[in-house]
Amino acid sequence: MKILVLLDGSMWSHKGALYALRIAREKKAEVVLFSVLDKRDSKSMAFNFCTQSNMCSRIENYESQIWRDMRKNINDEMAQVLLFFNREKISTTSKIVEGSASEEIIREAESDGYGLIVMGAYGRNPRSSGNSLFPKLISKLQVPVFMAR
Amino acid sequence: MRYYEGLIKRKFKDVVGSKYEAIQKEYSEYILTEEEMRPHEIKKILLPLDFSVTEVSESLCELLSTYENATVTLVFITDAQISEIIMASLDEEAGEEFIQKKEDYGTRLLDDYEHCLASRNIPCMRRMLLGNKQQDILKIASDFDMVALPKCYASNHPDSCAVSGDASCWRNHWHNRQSYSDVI
Repeated sequence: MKILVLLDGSMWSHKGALYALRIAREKKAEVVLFSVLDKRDSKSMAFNFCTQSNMCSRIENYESQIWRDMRKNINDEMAQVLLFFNREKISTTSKIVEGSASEEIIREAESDGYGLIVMGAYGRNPRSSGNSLFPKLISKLQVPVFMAR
Repeated sequence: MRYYEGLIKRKFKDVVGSKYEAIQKEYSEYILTEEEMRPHEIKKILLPLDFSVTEVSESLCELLSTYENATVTLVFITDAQISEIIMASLDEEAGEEFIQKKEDYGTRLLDDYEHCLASRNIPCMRRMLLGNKQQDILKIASDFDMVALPKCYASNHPDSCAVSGDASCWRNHWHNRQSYSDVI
């Protein structure tokens, strides 16, 4: 069995990873930690910042700085979770890709013989709005999806 | 808990002052306490079924076998509203016939799921209800640690169900900090 664990920096996705760990241990499954970086997020944050600070002449600098931070954050997070899984002796690899989250996740999930996808019930946004990826993924994927809450 | 309280206090110390508790409540949607981060023990699993579910998912049975001490409750629901409409528009006999046909199908599906689970030594219980596929599951779900929702459940289009309408709907209902997880 192979499990795709979606990480987005939220604590909910971390909780999902903990559930995945239990399943992987029981089923002797292989785990792939997966995260998608979307350039549009850094654009949107830079734009919001510039409009609020009236310093839009430097918007490109903000954007590249935010993008660097996003990369660093997800790399750090991935490394921590990977280390944790390796300590638990679970065969684990990690992948970080750039693009649209739903498209990249569907591409990955359909490409590599996964038996389960694990995600947090909520993303980085408030839980009341749920995980925005949920409807897009569920309608396309044939693989069972485990939502941790 | 203490760590996150400390974190919030530290991050917001200049902003909140005595309003710490209100801020913590207001921003609780973004942060999980240590208790909430801990995966809970899964002992009771709910598996809703209806006539839209056309086949037994072996992969789901296999996944549920992860939880050694868990009991799966299979619940087959027949839509009471539809049978009422049939009774009102045709006659009582037609309504009864509708219910009987759905329940016959339900019995077979429950047998198949029970076999799938029993072959993996997963204890299960079964129930058959005449009611509302969405509301009844919402009512009983809080008694369970996990809801394993078949993708086609309540879709009413077994041939083309891309996703259960109820799965999307429940996503909005289950937004409080409830301690169960879902497999879809």
